[in-house]
Amino acid sequence: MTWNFDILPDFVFNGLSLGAIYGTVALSLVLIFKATTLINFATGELAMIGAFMVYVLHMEQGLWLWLSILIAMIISAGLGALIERTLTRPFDPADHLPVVLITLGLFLIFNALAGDIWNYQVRLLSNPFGKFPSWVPGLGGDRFVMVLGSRLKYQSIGIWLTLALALFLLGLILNRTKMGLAFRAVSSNVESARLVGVHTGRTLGFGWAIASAFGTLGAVLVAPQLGGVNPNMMATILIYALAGAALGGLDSLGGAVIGGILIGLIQAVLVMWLGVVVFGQAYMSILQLAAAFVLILIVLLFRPSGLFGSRRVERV
Amino acid sequence: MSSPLVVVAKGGAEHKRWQYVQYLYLAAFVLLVPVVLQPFEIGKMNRALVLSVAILAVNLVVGFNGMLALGHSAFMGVGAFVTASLVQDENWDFWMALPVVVLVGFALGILVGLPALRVKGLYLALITIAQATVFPTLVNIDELGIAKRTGGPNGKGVSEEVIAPSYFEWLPGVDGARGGSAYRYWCIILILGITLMLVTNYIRSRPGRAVLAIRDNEAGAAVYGVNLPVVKTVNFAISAGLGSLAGLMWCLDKGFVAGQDFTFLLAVDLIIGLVIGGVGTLQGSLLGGLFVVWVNDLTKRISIPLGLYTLNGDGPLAKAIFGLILILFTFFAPGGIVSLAKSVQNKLIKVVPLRPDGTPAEDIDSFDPGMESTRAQSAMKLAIAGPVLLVIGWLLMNVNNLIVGCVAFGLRFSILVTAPVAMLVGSNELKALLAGNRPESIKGQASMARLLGGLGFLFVILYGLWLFITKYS
Repeated sequence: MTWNFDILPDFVFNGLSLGAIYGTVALSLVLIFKATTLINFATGELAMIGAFMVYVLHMEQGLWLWLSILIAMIISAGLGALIERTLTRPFDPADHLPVVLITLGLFLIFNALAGDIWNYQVRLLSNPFGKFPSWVPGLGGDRFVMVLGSRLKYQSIGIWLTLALALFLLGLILNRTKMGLAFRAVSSNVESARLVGVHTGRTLGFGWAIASAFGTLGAVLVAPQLGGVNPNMMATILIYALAGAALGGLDSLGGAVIGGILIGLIQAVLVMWLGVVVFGQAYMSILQLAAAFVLILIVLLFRPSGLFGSRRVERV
Repeated sequence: MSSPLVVVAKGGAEHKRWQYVQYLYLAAFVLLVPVVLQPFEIGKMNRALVLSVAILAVNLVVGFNGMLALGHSAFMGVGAFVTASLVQDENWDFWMALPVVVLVGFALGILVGLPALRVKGLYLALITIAQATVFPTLVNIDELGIAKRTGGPNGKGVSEEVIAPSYFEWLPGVDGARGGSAYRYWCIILILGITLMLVTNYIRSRPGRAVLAIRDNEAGAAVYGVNLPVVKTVNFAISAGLGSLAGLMWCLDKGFVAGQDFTFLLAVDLIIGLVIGGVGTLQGSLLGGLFVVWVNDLTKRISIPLGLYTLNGDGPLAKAIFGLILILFTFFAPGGIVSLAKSVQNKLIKVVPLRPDGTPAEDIDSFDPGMESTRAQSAMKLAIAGPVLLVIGWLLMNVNNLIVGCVAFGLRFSILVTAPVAMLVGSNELKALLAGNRPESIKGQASMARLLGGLGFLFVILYGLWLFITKYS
């Protein structure tokens, strides 16, 4: 057993950047759950399609990366709103089964379509945060900066900044626009919102749209870590994001982000650093996924509504 | 709606005859499969029936208890790997693994269900999805001897093939070229039949009704004294045990288990089968398994000539079509094939319930006067005659082997099914007998049953010893 603290910051940085990605996808789950109390199991595949859109626009058509990300986010937002309008709105959200089936069906269709079009090879997608831009003094062109004796990658910094910016924009949308107000009203009480004249259907579509855009952002950020895009890229990410959302509380937006980051930290520090480096148990690296699963179990056992979720009371 | 062809009273002679027709067709279908089909098609049928048992397991939670369980592929995997390890590494008899596998599944179900079922709504879906995704990676862990038992990424083959004993050769299809798959077919049919019977009885029992009550109104059930967490968890655990049993059948059918067989996609296949067959119906589970395998096969045949990319045999096209069918069924036929079939059946026959005094609640056809009714009657006679002749003919052909087979089978069956009961009941009686004081209670039928139990106990011990000696010496 070697308590190798020198490389601990490496793992912390890695965990924080992974966690930020999980948080982004968890946010996508929670945005939909908050509005409609349903879990969109096609979140990951929608995000994957978004990442492939970026691949097509940027790598094949040669568009500027950030422009293609923006276009992909807008298209997936439209796709999300379209799905909400055509496929989920006809069903009563209190009855979970049909909507879960619809999202499972979408999961299969998107995955299979992507597999048919692009097959299952990993395709390289350029990293939005590969090297520090040239205007950063002293670091331009470097991939990382030394902090606490460890390499802090530009990629991690970029992911954090992107998430922070996205959260800031989300906060602005939810708190400063009329649509955001309507969304908050609908997610706190659908009936009352409808009574005061909120167009609930349009608002839910709006929630799906934002959620899909967030998912796409998460997929684009995670692609460089997986070596590129492929149709199954989001399968494990979705599990971590689900764990993050359950940990933070399924109906808390801030909880989703914090939960996602905690999951990333647990994965990197507890499992990889403590398990593999300190205790030297090589099999721990396989258990990363299992750790997320066990964590969901424990959270549900002791705090069913998550760390920041609100307890739901049902009247009969 | 157009008026039905026949109107009969519930429980009346005509109604019963209609039911017999259904049973006969089912029996004829079951009998014909191993005789008519090619061996590889029987294999496909086997796969479908295995999936049917798994779908039945999912149905127990999703259809009858109204919870969302999406991870039964993991339970199947556990069952399959436990079977493979017991048979291959420990040299167990295939059938001796059965109770162990079911118990392991049951215990796992309690472990997973306990936290998940305390909270409402989608949390069970969340946990079970995670469980299904995690399982294939767990199989590959090198430490703790897990990979050695599961075969890791290479999977594990079971070299002990299940071959029909000589006293089973009377079974249709078992002799000759298609012997192996046909015998496996009969094993699977037997397990499936017993499982169906047990599940039917379970659903009609007191705990089963509590399960249904929870689905229909959770709060109401609690008010009526149903212990929600206990009933839900035990039901989930039973379903998990059944899922493990399906895993054992998978192992029996394929003779090979690998982690990548039990991914989330398999779990989704089960859900699709459930929904398309019919949620909350027993027949639906059977149809669902057939549907999943058949459509998978069909799309495979379509995608190869089209030059579409295929992976592991069934390409992405199959999954896309499944997804589409799932969404279409959710929209247009939420009751699945069973409800579609029911609506067709309602056009043919209408069953009228009886009033408390025993008279039918509506006018019924009593089959005597009227052209229409007699035509219906003769149609029905014809419908009955075909399968009856088939069964009789087959019985006549096999009568000698049949008797031998029934006796041998009866012995084996009694070992498997009555063993646990016999062990409980019989050991005390046997002790008394061996001690020489013939207990006074050995009178009449009840005591005879106990005595038989004692003999059964002895038999189990001897059989176990024999197994031990033959396997380890």
